[in-house]
Amino acid sequence: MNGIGYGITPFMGSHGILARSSGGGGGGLLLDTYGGSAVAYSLRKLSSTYSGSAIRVRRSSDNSEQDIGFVDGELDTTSLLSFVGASSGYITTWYDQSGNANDATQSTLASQCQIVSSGSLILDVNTGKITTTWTNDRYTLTSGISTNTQYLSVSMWRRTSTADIMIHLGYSASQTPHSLMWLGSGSGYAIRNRMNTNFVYQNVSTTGRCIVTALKDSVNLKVAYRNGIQLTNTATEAPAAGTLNVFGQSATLYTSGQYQEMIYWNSEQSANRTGIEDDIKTYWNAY
Amino acid sequence: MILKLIGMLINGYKYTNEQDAIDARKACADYYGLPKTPEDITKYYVDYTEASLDSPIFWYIEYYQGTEPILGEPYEFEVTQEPIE
Repeated sequence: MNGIGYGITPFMGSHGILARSSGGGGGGLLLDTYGGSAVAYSLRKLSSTYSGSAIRVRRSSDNSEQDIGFVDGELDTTSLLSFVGASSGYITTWYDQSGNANDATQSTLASQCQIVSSGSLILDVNTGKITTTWTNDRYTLTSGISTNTQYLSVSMWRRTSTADIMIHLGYSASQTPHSLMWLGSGSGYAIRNRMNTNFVYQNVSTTGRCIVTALKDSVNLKVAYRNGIQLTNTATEAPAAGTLNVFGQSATLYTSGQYQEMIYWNSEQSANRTGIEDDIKTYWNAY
Repeated sequence: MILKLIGMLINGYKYTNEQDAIDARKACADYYGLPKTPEDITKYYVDYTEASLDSPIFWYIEYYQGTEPILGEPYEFEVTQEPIE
């Protein structure tokens, strides 16, 4: 968390510029088509049955907080900017849209990601869509998630610097397990899918926006993808006991970069992976 | 499995007992009026971390803008970390 935003441009009004995704299933929202997720954090509405807010935001002017919801399936940026005013806004809570109420919260001011900078939305520098800037930030889940399952972990993310580290879900006490981690220049750039012991990895030094996915399928094959392209390294490992209890963290490693969305299914989703990635690609204009 | 531990330089504040770290965290929160209301999520300005791989164990707060008026000038020290393997 810091006071510097990336790609900050004057507010243009989100409703006219954000395309509605088909969701791969006849016009529904992503989780209407691909339900059963364990947690789902996003700056867009993911499920037509979810009636809660998207995020809770703290404004820097007086540290007051307010929930921010959706308008027509998109983040209510009018209410967000009205609340934050000329100050900056930071996310204290990513509300879980899966229906499991497994919200991700950060009680420490210094570790909250930023969504408004000095009265302006933080927008992706290429697409103009709203995003969040993370600087060694992380969030604690309300409830731990068992690793003893198949899974699909996917995000819309931008690596803003070669030094950035990105983590989907991890464990606060040790680097294993984590559903997906992308290390930075100080650690060989490895994209890692390491839920239990063995791990899949490939070194990718590219910066920019991308969809990053980790998957363990019904025969326990572990793979990872970047923008739909499978990484060359794979591994096979049966599910085993463990806990994921943090978003954006793995032990003392924390996330830097820009997140727009992170969703985790704790079930076999290999048949749905491309449909899920296509939905994310279309909505966020990923690549 | 034996892990080869590594040292990482931290810029911040080091405490030899946990209560001192808790008191420092509270001092920063009080200085900035946190939490604003009891219902708010944001409780602290900065948090402390246990250096559990060091012997003896200590506790530290990483420097963050705005801590100087309460905690003074930060300084560098080494914390033992689990390596990225």
